[in-house]
Amino acid sequence: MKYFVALTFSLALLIFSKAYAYPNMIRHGYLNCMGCHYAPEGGSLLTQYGKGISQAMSFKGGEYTPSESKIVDDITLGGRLHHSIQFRGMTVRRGEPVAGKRYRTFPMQADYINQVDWAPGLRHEIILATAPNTARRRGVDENTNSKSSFTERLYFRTFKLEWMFIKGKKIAVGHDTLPMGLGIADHTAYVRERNRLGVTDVPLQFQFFSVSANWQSALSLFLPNNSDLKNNREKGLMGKSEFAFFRNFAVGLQGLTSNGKSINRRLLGATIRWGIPQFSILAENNYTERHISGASVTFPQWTNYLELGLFPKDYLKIFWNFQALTVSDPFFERERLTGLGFEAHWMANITSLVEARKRWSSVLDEKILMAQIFFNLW
Amino acid sequence: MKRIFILSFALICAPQSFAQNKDLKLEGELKYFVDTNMPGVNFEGKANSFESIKATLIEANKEIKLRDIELIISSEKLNSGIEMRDKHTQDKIFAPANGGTAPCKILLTIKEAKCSGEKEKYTCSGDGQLKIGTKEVARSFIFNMGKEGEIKSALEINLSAFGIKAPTYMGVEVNDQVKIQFSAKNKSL
Repeated sequence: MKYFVALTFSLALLIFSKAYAYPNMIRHGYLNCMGCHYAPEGGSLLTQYGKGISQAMSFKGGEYTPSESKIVDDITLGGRLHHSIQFRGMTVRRGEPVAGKRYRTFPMQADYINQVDWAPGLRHEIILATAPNTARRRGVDENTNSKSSFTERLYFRTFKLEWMFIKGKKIAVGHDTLPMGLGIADHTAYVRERNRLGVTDVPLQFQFFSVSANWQSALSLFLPNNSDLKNNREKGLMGKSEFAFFRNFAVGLQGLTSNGKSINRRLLGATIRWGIPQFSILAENNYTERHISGASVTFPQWTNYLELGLFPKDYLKIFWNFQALTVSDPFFERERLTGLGFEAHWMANITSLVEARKRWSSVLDEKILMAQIFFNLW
Repeated sequence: MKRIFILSFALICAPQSFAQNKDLKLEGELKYFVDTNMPGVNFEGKANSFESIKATLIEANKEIKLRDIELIISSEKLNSGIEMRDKHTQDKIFAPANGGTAPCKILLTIKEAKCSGEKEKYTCSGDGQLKIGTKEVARSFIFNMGKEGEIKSALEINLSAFGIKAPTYMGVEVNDQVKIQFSAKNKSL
């Protein structure tokens, strides 16, 4: 009954949506995110075409018509200034009460995104984000009894200048999340969180992107972010390439090498994306080896992600995911997570997601029901 | 007289005695592949609900032919997986200005196609018509035929060559060249 209440509550709050990339859009022939997002790696601002697709694939449906108002034209510098606000709210119901509470409802994320096209191919992108202090280190699941506010931190999740010098070839400099992996929205996924791809892991980067009809690559030389803890600062190089063998099947390989003040790490990973209009599979496996400087200790880590998605309607996704984390001695950890849920895209800028999760290890057996709402105001 | 009669009878009957005509009961699929001006943004659609799909297989003296190939499908049966995209395809490709009436008929007819090759692996070619609405977009066809009646054909057409303007939507423009693929299996075997 309480699960039902949480579900109803989340549905009653359907006033939000997200502007993340959907890697499973490969099922409709979108190998990269370039058609719908200004950034080929996805996320951030939607192009006019992306807004059209978002509208067309929503429950409401219909045509998206851009504003032709003179005022809007003036405010947006003749269409060269793009911006939006995105917000994510969440309600969590835990299997076992924590500090006497089973439920917690909280705003999780609020971003202001700004982009100006300075010249053809040249643009800046800024994402000014807020987050609770604890989100950086512990993620949402462990944090449900915390009293922290999501406005405790204000930081630039993206602050970069980009230049597309040839169609499909782009260089960028600035702070950003490393363009690795599938690009799934859940920053608490092991493949992200355990590989420093959380929302506040935004090193200073020199990026290069290349996309073609059946190929996309990203290369990044990264330097420490001054807002990181001193011992967490690292510099290194990462690369990722994804090749589409067919229009709806792509395999990717990625690697990273970095040196930090206390830890050096090497990562090797693979991704798979496959889909037909009604079904999709996403998979990512990463092997990470960390070496503690000065202690001659090296320990490997495996992170895995698998998601099966069923799309009975354009706007409705039913999904099941399985995640695994294995860390070897001397920091042994073995944890599994599985989730079953649905995501409904109600309007062009309103999406809801409900997921029942179970996470377990030798010391943990946790059940969580989460309901998220996403709103994107453009 | 008897000899002449036997000879005449043999001459009249010989070709027919080795000829086999089979009306194929086909079930097929039409696919189309579209690229756009955005690298990595391309899509495909398909239709498998035909108004008419038929052909006759003729085997005579080791010669294989396909005759009276006819394939008719309504443009509204084309499905790319996104409803709005299909609506745009109807409105922009099959619009009256492009010779269509949205929905209009896509019609493929080939009177006769001669096949050559090894058993179960033939290459066939023939002249006919591929029409979208009232507009003819292709005339000659080459296709492969495998086990009896298994047909696969692919052709590329340039929309502009037939006066069809490639559609655009919010900055994403469909490439002029569109690939069409047709495959069919013989149910009666």
